[in-house]
Amino acid sequence: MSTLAPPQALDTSGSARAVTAGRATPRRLSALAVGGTLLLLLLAAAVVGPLVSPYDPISQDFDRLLQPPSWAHPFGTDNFGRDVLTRVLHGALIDLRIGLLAVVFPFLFGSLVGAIAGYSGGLLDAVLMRAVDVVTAVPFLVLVIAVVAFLGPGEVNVLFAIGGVGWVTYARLVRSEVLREKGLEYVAAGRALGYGRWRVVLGHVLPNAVPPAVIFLASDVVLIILTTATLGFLGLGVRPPAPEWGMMISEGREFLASGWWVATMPGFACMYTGLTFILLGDGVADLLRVKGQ
Amino acid sequence: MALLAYALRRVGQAVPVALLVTVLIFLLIKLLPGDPAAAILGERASDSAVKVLHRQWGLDRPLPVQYAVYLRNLFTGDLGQSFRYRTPVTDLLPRRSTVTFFLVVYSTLLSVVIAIPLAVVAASHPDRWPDHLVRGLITLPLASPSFWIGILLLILFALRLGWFPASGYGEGLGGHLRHLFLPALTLAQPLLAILTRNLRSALIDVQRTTYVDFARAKGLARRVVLVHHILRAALLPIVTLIGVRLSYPIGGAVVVETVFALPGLGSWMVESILARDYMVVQTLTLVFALGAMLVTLVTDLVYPLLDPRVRLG
Amino acid sequence: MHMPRSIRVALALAAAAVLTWIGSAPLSSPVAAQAMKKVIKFGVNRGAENLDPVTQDANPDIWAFMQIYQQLVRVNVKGDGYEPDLAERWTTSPDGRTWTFFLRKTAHFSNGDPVKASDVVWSLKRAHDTKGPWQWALEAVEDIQAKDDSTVVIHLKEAWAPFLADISLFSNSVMPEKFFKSATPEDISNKPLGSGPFMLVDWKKGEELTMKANPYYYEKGLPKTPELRIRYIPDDSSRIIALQSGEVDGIDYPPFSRIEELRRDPKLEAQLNPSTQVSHLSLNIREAPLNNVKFRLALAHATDRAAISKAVCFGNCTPATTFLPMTTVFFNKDSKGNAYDLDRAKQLMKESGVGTPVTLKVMYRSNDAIHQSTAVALKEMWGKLGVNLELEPIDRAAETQRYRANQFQIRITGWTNDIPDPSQLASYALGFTESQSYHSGYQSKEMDALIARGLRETNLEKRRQVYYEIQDLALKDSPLIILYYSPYTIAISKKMKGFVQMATGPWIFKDVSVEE
Repeated sequence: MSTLAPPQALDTSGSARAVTAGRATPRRLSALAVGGTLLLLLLAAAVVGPLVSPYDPISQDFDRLLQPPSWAHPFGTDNFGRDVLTRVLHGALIDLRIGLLAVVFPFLFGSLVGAIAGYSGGLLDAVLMRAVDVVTAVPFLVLVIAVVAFLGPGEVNVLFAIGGVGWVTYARLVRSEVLREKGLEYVAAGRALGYGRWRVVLGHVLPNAVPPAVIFLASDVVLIILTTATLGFLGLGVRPPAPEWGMMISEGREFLASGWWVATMPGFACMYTGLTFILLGDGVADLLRVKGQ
Repeated sequence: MALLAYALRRVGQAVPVALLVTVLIFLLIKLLPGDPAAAILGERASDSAVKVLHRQWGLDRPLPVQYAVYLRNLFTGDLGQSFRYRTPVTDLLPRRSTVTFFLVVYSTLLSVVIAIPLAVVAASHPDRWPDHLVRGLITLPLASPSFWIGILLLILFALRLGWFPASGYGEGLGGHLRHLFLPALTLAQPLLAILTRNLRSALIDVQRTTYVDFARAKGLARRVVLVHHILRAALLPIVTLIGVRLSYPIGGAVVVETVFALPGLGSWMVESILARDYMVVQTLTLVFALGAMLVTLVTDLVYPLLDPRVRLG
Repeated sequence: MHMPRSIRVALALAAAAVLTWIGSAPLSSPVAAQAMKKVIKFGVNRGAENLDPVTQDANPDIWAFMQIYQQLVRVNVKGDGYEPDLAERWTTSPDGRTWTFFLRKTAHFSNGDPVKASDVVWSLKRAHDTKGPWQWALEAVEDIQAKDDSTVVIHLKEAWAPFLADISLFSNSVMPEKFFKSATPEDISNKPLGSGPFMLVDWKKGEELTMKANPYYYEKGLPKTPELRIRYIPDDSSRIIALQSGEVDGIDYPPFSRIEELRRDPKLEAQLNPSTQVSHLSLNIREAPLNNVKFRLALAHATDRAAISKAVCFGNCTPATTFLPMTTVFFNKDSKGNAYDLDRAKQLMKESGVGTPVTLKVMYRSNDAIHQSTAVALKEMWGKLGVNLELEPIDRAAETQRYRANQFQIRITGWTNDIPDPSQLASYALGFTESQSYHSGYQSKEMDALIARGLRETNLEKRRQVYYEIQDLALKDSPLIILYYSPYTIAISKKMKGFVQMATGPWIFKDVSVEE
């Protein structure tokens, strides 16, 4: 294959953009714009909804069990007579909080570890990656069960467990990208030109290595919300009667036939959130890509 | 050969890692509150009955002794006995492993087979309607819990249409393929979505670079450009993600195994932890650790094959 | 850039071909020519782990090995009397201390060996001597002897009222001495050998248990169907789908929320079988505020059992009154229990002197949806008294440990009578010696005396009075708060005939036949 390297890092004058002028950049931002709008709507609903709703998300009404959607209850009621829409809205904040908190640390920490490992190579790489191996080897569920057994159930402990294990994927992703970038000539060229090691890493290697991690992060947020559902499925999730979407889906699956709305409505909420974050992730990754050029 | 030397070095590093993992898990599971003897005899068992089992299982000896016994047995191939089933772990392991292995490979293949065309379609028309359609199609199952997808697939394909069986592992290769199709499809969802998006992003990336334009300018046929340059460069993150996925056979598989009643390692692991079936947990963890390291090693070895610019640390 | 049409078409064709191939592989189906199926397939929510009658303690194990083993005497289906099983008849000495059982001569183990009195003696001695969860069943026994090959004589320490119930317990199954004398515990658990209608043929642990007819079973013509497969399908929805799609002929424990829907299915039959089950809250009364009896009574009266039954069982359970399951002998039908009365509860709360708000923790098994629903409902109800209930779902093993170590305040749990006699539950739940009264710490001289009398009083009416007093005292002292009685749920295909479930729980498959 030719020795031509993609002129991404060195050329900051925008000539790369000139080459690809055919694809108008404004279209790229549309993912970011749409995702951002969806997120704002979600946040608005999460904040305003609970204030506006006439129902309490926890109080039970034994005369109104499993009512189908109606004007009084747009999302119906669940097996305790609680209004599903209100619970979904209250759950938005809980799930956003869980999803974001549980990715921030893994993303930052994992990317850093991966970048260092990939760039340094040698012993440091070996040690870090073997540490990654050890963490990977501990089955996630063992860890969660252990955390719950020692510290009790609840949101914080679940975050703890997820965060402790989740950084590994980011480390691996970023490391593989850094390995690839490392071999590119612009890096050697940069060094030859006298750019400091850190400047090369932070200014050029990292931005190009990180997009796959960002894209994964978008999916990861959603996966984490679903992990809480799985933990609920296994009986290890957030403490009831908290209206967390994952728990609602898990508890509601028993009623798929008699009250499909109980599990499906939070499921739609998950899907909406998933789409939001995926679009955001794509948008941010595109931005990073453009910036790195 | 450099690659061989690297591989051997990694295998050498694997041993201390594996040992470290066994110690960690040994301590973790022993420190968990909950007594396997009481779990098995039931909550009404007398204290003396519990003590008898402790002695029988060697649980009354100090922890370091227990670990030493475990290691010694390990090296003679004795993986211990399952407290729950009163059967050697080695008797129970083969069938369970086959089921999970089959499932994971099947689902990974499905993910890849479905992701590639989807990503190509999306990357060919970035930000236009095919791209949005693909993105929507993969987001929906991605953002749904796997047990939900599993149950919906069961209702549609097993119950309504009757195309696939509702539970179990089946007999014979054809039987296994049929019984495992829906579970594998369910398990494939997250990886499918992630692969599609990453591949799409990488394809768009590579498309934009000048060497592709140069190659086209040189007159190379479109097909050649596609296969040789684009896919190759984009495969790196794909391989990483597949590697990550293959080394997590338990996490995703538990739910699927439970919903589809498959006797695999994932559900066995969870049940054993809940029952404090120590020997099973330790054996399974060791198996997973070794498996995970093997997969990581293979993906690391594959990187330079895919992209000669990658140099191994 | 455009994916060439040819590639797209090829991919589509390939996908279609693969799907067709997979979908067209023949379904394994029973031979269409027979009128009756040769195999009964039954889906269960928990798999069997240990088939040794003496050391196991889980319903899936019991209900499975009850197809394989027999006892001297068998509880009847309704759960209020006894029938001959391996013993054709029996006699009691006038002082009630000696029981003589006459074995039927036609019973054989599935390896062809006849069932002899020596087998009975060996099995019962083993059950008596092994430290297991069922030792209490033979605690009154002093000596067991074989007078001849078909006569067993049992000497008791004293006249014992529930003896027939005790001897009918599944842990007192008759096992072949020759075969098991020198066997390891593992072998006894994995390779059962009994005289019952079925014998174990294959056991894929955690997957499926296969049994075939015992060719030497003494009842001619039974079992009606020669093969029985018990398949483990843990997820409720999947198990129901397996039934609806015909993959299994019957299932256990469909959730209460699905019973209505299953009833409406023309191909299926939903059963709510009377059980010896009672759900209740175990209280730890050693410390404040639960050591205050008025507080406990306030909680009891603030519990709307009808509402819980609605929420948790969808109306299929019966609000409970006394601590005994309602199918038990000497259950007091006229007792009102500590019925729901919020005003009375508030009054008692005031009288108790416990200041509000007060926080209590309720512990329960984390993967149990029913317990969870119960906890959520209670939180709401007791909130009206100013009690803040915190939920603590914990995994099974950890929960068992905390319970045995008395490290809990309130625990959601339940009890199933294994014998149709109130003595088992009374001793365990209210008597201090066995379990510190269900680990509550309740110790009442009056109660202990009543329990002791109940075990020894052989006059039926007098015994009834004793147990009525026990029930009333339990309500007055309230070391437990009783919730509801729930039936067993079963769903079978209408093609399955002859299925019976005993009130104590075990299924009876020997009379079952399934139409094609």
